[in-house]
Amino acid sequence: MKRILLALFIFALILPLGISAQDDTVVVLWPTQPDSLFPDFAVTATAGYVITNVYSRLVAPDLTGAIVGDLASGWEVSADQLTWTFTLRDNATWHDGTPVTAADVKFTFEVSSDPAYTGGSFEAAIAGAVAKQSGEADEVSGVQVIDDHTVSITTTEPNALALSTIAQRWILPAHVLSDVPVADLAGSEQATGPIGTGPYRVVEWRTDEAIILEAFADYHGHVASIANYIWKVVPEISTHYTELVTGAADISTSIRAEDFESIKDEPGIATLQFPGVNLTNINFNTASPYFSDVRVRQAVAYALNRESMIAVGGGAGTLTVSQVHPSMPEFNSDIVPYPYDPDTAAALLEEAGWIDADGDGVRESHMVEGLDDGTPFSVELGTWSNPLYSLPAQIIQQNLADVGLGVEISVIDFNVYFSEYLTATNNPEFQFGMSGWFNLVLPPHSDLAFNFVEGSGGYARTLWANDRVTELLTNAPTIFDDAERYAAYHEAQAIVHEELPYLYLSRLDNLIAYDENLVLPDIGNLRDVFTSIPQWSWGG
Amino acid sequence: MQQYLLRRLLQMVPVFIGITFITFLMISLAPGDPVVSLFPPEVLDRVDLDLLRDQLGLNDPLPTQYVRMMGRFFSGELVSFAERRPAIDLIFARLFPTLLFSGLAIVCALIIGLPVAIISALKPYSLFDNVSTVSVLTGLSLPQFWIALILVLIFSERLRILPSSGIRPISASSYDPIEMFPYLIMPTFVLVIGLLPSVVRYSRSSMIDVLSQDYVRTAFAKGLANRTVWVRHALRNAILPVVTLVGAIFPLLLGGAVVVETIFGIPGIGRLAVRSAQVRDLPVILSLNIFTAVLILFSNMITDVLYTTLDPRIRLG
Repeated sequence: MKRILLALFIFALILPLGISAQDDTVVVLWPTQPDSLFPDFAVTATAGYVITNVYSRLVAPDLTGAIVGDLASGWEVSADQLTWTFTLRDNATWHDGTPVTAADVKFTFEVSSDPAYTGGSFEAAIAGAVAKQSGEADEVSGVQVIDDHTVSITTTEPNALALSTIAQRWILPAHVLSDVPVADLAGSEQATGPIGTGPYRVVEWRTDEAIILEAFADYHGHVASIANYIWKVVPEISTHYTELVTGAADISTSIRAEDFESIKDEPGIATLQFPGVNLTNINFNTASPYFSDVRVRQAVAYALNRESMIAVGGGAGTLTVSQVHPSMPEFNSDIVPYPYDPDTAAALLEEAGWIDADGDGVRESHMVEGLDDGTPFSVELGTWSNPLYSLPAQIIQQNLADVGLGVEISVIDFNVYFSEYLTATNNPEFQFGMSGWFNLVLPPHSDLAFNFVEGSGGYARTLWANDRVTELLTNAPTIFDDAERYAAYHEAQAIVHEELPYLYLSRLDNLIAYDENLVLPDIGNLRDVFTSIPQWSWGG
Repeated sequence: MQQYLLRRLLQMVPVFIGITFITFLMISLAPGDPVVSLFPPEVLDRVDLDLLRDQLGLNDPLPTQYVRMMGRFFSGELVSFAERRPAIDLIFARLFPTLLFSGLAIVCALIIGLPVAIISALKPYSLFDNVSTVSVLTGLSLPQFWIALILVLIFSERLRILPSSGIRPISASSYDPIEMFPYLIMPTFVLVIGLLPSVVRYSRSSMIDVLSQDYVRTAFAKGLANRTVWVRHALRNAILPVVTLVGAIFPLLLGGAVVVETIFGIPGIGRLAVRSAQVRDLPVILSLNIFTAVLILFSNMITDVLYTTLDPRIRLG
């Protein structure tokens, strides 16, 4: 018995040494598995990070943000700026060996315009897409197959963003999916064992454990230099540290701020840090009598010590003034964040009619529209049950109490928060909420338009509308001069920053640690970490 | 016996219906909207949520939804809202690791717990008894997540002798027990620490109880060897409550050990359950509840049947 135990113990000592990384394999850590590998139905950012290496697009942004050919070897636009004609590479094939043709491109856009389609990729700007969706037409007139390797896409009106919108569409395999009813696509085989055209092929998806991928030898571009790529699911983030230093994995993008300094000192580990893709913000119900006065919203901005909120919310980050990622040209870098200045906040509140006459520490209304005189300033701040948001919310409560504003925090389940609480139209009691914006979507147009064009989806969250901003954002896609279009976005961001329907708080940094022998290209944001995997190599 | 089993099976039907109906009602009436979780907030604008609700059948009256869901459940076609695959497939894909760890944990807890309990019962309030009582209760009082993280820190990060996450080497293509062995140690240990106190305390007090019975004294008086009395006469009677306990714990373990699964990266049912609840994935939650409920019903029945084998005095009827 003793001998068996001893043997087992020695076994345990020896075995793990065998798991260190091999030269032809890179193990990437992530806390969750994708929800689906069908691009149209994949919801999570996680899925996008895997999909980027499994599928291809007609055109795609490179690491500098410039749009280059992917499945398309070239393209031209008609004189009226309406029709884009793409020439497909003749060497592109699907992972099962079938050549990529114009029919695949056509199929991709047909599917997303189908009346039974429930994915997230419908694009109304393509001519005929709306007609097909509403059942008036059988096909999308704006997408035409010219020959096997030529396809044209026509937009409803000249659109400067057409190419970058097309650069977000993953092309689907018509030969695999055309027999599947559109309503059943989401649950099809393609969601778990996809046939793509990307540099890596999915070999096996092990539920909640790992996705095993291998370099696709017939890839139409540069064949990935690391032959095996394993997406390893490690739900406990603190364990990512252990996995890296023990050599069980090669890179993690989820290092906790409290671990970051010490992992820098670990031998064999290199690190990267850049502004993250998640940001935190407050949105005000601007129709509420408490927050309808812009001076009150500005007072909130001055009253908050946002640096200390970064410290409790995750540790490393930067103050931010816009939802646009600072690495993009659309970001307005001239905007100066509101400084932490409780005196200015107090002065603004006095001006707006909020005065603490009875000296109980909470201001009361005086001549504030929509409120009886003497109403104490007491509002509910909703946030959702994620410490990234609920912990900084306590600082908001404290900071606002310091300037005489009473705040009760209400922590709400994620689903309820977004489906019911957040919108002023659904929830008349909604005053202000603390949440975040998750994705880095290039270009930022759709996100900005969602939030700030009067009547679009995000309007219900603030009930704020500004004619100039609506005009700027509505017209931006028609401005073909890049600098001029960026200027429109800059102006819109400046107005938002002045008017504060949204108060942007901070952008937590992405903290990345990896095996120092891994050679990475120059990367400036989280998305590009994953996009660049085919360009990684083992050096040193 | 057959009649008894038949009656028990028939009794399960109303219980089963009750469980499914209450589960369904609770999730359906809870605030929140399943389709909202299916998209990131920034694309909600572009998605026809009502069409999706229609496709998922969420616009129908609740009784219709309930009947349809149960029908689909029995034909194996109840499809997850979030992943659009049969919920039962999602559960079965995670069944092996869950079964493995539940089984390992119970077996280890019995192997360690029973001898400790018996020795404690034979010499109650001795040094051994006190030490074992204090240690199992200490184990119970320490939060599982803390023990788990400390184990990872010591054995994976500092000593580097055990892997920190997963159930097999990432390069392994099958479940080879030899390759898996180092991955099983820490999670099983944490689960066993959670189970030991009940096993030890139950068996100990039951054993003490039995040892003070008249028939045990008689057995001793007849001059039987101590060992024979303890094992043949006492233990066999004392084990009954432990069987009940195991029958109660096992299905609960199968329902998923969320903390252990999360910290050690085990692809089990617990993580699925938490995620499904977060996104209001009604079909998966319902299937999981039915799964656990059926397990409990059956393990109760098996426990009762086992009673008759262990204790001939008990007759089912």
